[in-house]
Order: sequence, then structure tokens, then C-alpha cells
Amino acid sequence: MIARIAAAPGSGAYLLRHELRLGWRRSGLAAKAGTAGSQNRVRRLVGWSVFLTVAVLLQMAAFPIARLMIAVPADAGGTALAALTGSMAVLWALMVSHALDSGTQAIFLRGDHDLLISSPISPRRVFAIRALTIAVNIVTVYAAITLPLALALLWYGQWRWLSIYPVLTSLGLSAAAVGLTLCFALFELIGPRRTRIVAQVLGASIGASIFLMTQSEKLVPPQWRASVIAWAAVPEGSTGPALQGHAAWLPARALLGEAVPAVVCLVLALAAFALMVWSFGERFARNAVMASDLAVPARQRAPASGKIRDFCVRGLLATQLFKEWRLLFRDPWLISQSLMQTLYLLPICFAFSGSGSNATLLAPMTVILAGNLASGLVWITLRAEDAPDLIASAPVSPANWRWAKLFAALSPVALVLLLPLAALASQSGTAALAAMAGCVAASTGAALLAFSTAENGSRKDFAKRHKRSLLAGLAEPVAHVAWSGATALALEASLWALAPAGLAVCVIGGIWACRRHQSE
Amino acid sequence: MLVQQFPAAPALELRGLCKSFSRMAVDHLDLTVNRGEIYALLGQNGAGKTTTLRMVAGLLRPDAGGIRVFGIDARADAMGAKRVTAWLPDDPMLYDKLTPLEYLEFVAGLWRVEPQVARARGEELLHYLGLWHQRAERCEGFSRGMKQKVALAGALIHDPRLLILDEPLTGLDAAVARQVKDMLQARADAGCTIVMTTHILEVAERLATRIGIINQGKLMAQGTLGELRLLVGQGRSTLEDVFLDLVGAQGLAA
Repeated sequence: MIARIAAAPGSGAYLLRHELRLGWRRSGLAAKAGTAGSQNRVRRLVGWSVFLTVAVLLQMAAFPIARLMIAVPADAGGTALAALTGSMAVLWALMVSHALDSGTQAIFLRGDHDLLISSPISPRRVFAIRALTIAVNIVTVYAAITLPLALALLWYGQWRWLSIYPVLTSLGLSAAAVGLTLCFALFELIGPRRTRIVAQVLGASIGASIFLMTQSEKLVPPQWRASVIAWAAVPEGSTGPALQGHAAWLPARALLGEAVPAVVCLVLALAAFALMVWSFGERFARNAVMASDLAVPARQRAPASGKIRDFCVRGLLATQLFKEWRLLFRDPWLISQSLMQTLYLLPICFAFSGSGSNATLLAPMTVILAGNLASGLVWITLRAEDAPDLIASAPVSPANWRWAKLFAALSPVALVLLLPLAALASQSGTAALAAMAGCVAASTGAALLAFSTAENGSRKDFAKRHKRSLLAGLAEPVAHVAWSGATALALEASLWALAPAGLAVCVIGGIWACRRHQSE
Repeated sequence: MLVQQFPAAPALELRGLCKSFSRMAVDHLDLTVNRGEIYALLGQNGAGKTTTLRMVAGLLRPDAGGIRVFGIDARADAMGAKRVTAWLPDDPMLYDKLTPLEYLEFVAGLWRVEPQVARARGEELLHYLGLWHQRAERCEGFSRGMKQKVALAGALIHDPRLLILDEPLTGLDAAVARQVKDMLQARADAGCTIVMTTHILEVAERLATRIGIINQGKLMAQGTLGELRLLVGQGRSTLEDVFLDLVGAQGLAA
């Protein structure tokens, strides 16, 4: 479908069409050429079924929100403007996080730089289209999410709220501009290797901090909250005209359907985007080649210095452990990926913290950290072995290798957990013991799941390790959250702790049994 | 056409080319490749072959020196030089989600080849390289040899005047390697200039018009196989003998 859009060879539209086609095919909704007819039909049917189910659920959730929005008048002031601005700030921060992640993908993880940069297309144009694709992707994601809301508002005859789309476009363009500027700034400041890690961690931190903000009631002392609310308060009487001079309210006013603020926001966002493309277009080629050179000329880098100690290790276990630890610590990107996934799960712990005490918050967080780190590291050591044939051909029993690998993966987890467990022990010995039990259960469960569900892969595919198995992708976070919930409830001395623990056991046991059944 | 502005210029001319990373990778390299030649650049791992070719392809900026492609100053007019050049890396990237024909059409578009021409050339190349039956399959399930052939077709689809190949035969089985060699020879016979690196000395011996031997970023020797034999003295009959004579002792010491 996208391929049929006409575009002159080598033009911007041509490159944009190419990017959109790749994106569409990665979505899983496109027909797959070369696949058997029935396979293709089933694959598309599943894809579209999931898509339509989510769409219907979102649409159902949209009607109550739409009824709340109808009550907001077009000339709203005070609290309504502040609330809309705050919501858009959160949305924009999420978009920046998305842009940071996409920016690092575009600069570091795309393998087509050699082809594009050796072609007679200006790197500036390549970069402009890639940046535009990032902006289009961001806007499309949020436009799709808000579509049910827009449809519900149209159902109630509220046409003015269609302004959400120009506003989303402005937010998406400006977020892409800021996210990519951050990527380039990091590249200049700390170099390609660290940028890849820092940008992804920064992106994830923005996302996670938004979840943390929603829990400010439990995190921020009451007097701090009161002073922030007083600082941000807008008098209810300050309606439209009184706020004309405040640029901060422009996006909110644009969202309420005012034409001039909408145009101003769009023009400013376009200008920021164009300035970013103009500033970094030429650097893109240099940075992309430098980034791709991270993998290419290892032979051209400085020879290993004496600083890298040569461990004269003896024995199978020591050999295996040192090899795994070296590989782990020499690839901080993998560790950052693992920690990032943890970052997204941590906010769930606030839901478990009934009494709001530090111990009941820290204990479930520690358990989630244990489970998630264990999942990642066990997969890396066990399933992402760089030289599986070498290991298989060595005169060592597979069971020995597996145990050594498990120990290599879980020992850094234990090391990382020492600090939060010590902090817990200083507050309450019982909490520390409960957390330790939860950590052991979560780590063991993670290891069992890695044995039974995960597929072998390459280290660079760490973030996509469950792509081929939805079941495995779901089982891991469900089990970690369940162990975490069980720990929190156990600390409250509630018998309900058995419910999440039972759920975790069922999930892990069920998947283990499925694996046994399949292997037989 | 820019190439016709300099009818007498060599296909590739490198003068005092330098590039350093943590150490000198290419060290004041002077090299001339004539039109229609197949020039094989030989050297040990880390000798500077790939870095040299990546600079010619416009992927790396030289620290010093000049690059002229058919008389076009590639540093001043990068786009002009790229228009007549194709680059094939040793581990080429294909878009997994595209079919070979879609990939070829996309690459052709980057060099502004009209879609109808691109399609006809793409189909011809796929027929020639034995990939016609896979034309509608996505590249994600292709073997290394099939991917290499698609990438080579991508390098040829815009009919480049200068073809730069980094280890084009690595990892290919004998039949595919033979096909690729035949195709390169046919292109050279049709007037295309080919500069390639290879570790397979038999390929250089059989295909190359001239051979350059590079070591620690410097050109140690160049010429036809016969000229290189004369250079190292009597009794050295194969390219392997010549190569090891020229770089062996130094390389082992390095």
C-alpha cells in the first residue's frame, strides 16, 4: 500500500516512503510476502484481532473521559488551564523520551548507514527524513491512542476538541527536536559509546519519573506539596483574556480550540524542528559512521593495555565465571537495558505500599529488582551465548556449564541487592528477611522461566528477546510483580500474600509443564 | 556527466591519504587505479585496506590527502564522486523486511534511477545471480551467500563506473563465489573499474589486472603479478610467495 505512493527517486518523499514501509512491515499487520497463504492469513488475523480488541477497550474507556471534557468551557481558566497544561507537559515528556530512544536507534542501531551515506543523497536530507519519521511515529502513536477519545467527543458533537491533532503535531515535532538535540549533545560531550547508554537510560528515566510523579502523595512531604500547589495555582477568576499574555498556556488554549494559539504552537514547533535538522544534518553522517565504526574497526583500536588483568584462572567453574563476568561488565549497554526494564516496573510497587512506610515500599521494589535483573542476566549468560558450538564441543557436561552460568548470572544480582537489603535491615529485620525470601523466589522463578520459555538469541537482541513468544514476554513481569506483591502483603501480615505467591507459582509451574510437554 | 569532464583522468587517484584512529591506520598513501582495471588491494588484518576504501566511498573523512574519482575531487564534491561509485562492505546490511526486488529498487532510487529502468535491471540481476525464484521473499530468511548476492546486485543496479568491494567473496561457497567472480569480470570487461580487498590470494591472482600490497597503512608495492614477481626476485612463482615476501617478516614482527 505504502509502496504504491509515487515519489521521485532519491527525493525526500522517496526516503520517507521507504521509512514508512519498513515501519509498517515491522508492525506485524502487513501481509508477509513469501509466507504460505494460510500462515500469512493466521498471522494477520491474530495481529488484527489484538489490534481491534485493544481499540474496542480504549473506545469504551474513552466515553467517560469525554463526558468529563465536555464540561470544560472553551474559555476555561484557572485550574482547568493548569490541569490541561500539566497533562500536556507529561505527554510531551513521554514524547521526548520516545524521541531519545528513537534517536539512538536511528544513529546507532540502524545498519544501513553505509548504503545511505555512500549514496549521492545529501546526509542532511537523509537525516531530515529520519528525524521526520521519528516525529511522524511519535505523533501517530499518540494520535492513535487519543483517537477513541476524539471519536467519543465527536459522538457528543464536540467538534472543537479536534484541535487535539494540531496540538499533538506541535508537541511531537518539538519533542523530536529536543530529543534529537539531546542525542547529538550527548554524542559531542561523551562520545558514541556512552551516548547510546546514557540516552536510553535518560529516555527510560523520563518515562519512569512520570509514573513516580503520580505517586507524589507518597513521596513528597506535605509541606513541599502545598508550596508547589501554591506556586502553580491560577486564580479561578483569571479567564481567557486575563491569561492572553502567558505563553505557558498557549498549548492548553490551542487544545481548547483557539485558532491563534494553535497556529503559534505549530509554527514554533516547526521552527524548532527545522533548526534542529539544519544544525545537525551534516553531523549526522559523521556521527552515524562513528557509531557504526564501534562495531567495525575493533582491530584499529589501541591494543589491550596492561590495565586489563589477565586472570590466570584454573578450573571449569572459575574459567566460566570469569568469562561471563568479563563479558557482562564490558558491555554496560546490556546492564543498562536490564536496569531500564526494572525502572518501568518499580512504580507498580507504590500500589502495594498500603501503609506507606519506607519498608513496605522498599521491600517489593527490591524483589522486582531481583526478579528483573535475574531474568535479564540469566538470559544473557544462558541464552545469548556467543559461541554455543564451542561450549557444546568442549569436553564438559552441559549440566556443569548450566550451573556455572546460572551462578555467574545470579551472583551480580546478589551483589546489587546487598545495598537495599542492608537498608531494609537497618529499619526492620523482619522486612529484610521477607524481602530476601521474595528476592530468592523471584530470582529462582526468573531462572526457571529463562530455562523454559526464552529462545536463544544474540546479545544485541536483548531488548527483543521475547519477540517471538508473547507468553514468555508476559510471564516474566507477571511473576516478578506477583512475588513483589506477595512480599508487600506478607509485611502487612496479610494472608492475602498467598494469592500473588500462588499466582507466581502457577505461572512458572504452568510454563515449566508446557515446556516439558513440548519437549516430550 | 561529470565523469566526461575529465576524460583522461584515472578512475581513482589517492595522494598522501592519511587517517588515524588511536594509531595511524593509513599513512600517506599514494595510489592510482586506471579506468577499466580490476585492482586488488592486499594486506594483513589491520593493514588499512578497509579504512582506505571507506574513505574512498565517502564514509570516513581523511585526516589529510586527496581522493579523486574520475578526476572529481571527492573531498570537495562528495556527491559528484558518489554518483559514479558503488560500495559493498564485507558484511553488507539488507533490510530484512524487504524483498530482493524491493531492496534493489530502493537502492536504485538513491542513485535516482528511474523506477522502470530499476525494475528491469533488478530483474535482470536477480535472474543472473540465480535469485529469481526468491524475488518475492523477504530477505530475513536468506543465507549468507544469498544476502551477499543481493547486496552485490544492489551495488551494480545503478551501473557504477567505480565499484569498491571489501572482501566480496568471504563466506561464499564455491558455486556462488564463481558466479560473483564471473559477474565482476563481465563488469570489468564492460568498462567498469573495480577496486577490491581480499584475503583470498587466488582471487586476486585470477581476477586482478594489478595488485597493490599495503602494510601498516603504506603501499609496499604494486603492479601486475609479473611485475611483483620480478620485484621480489626469481623463484617466487605464486602471489602467496610474493605477498609473504613483502609483508610477511614485517607483519610477523608487528
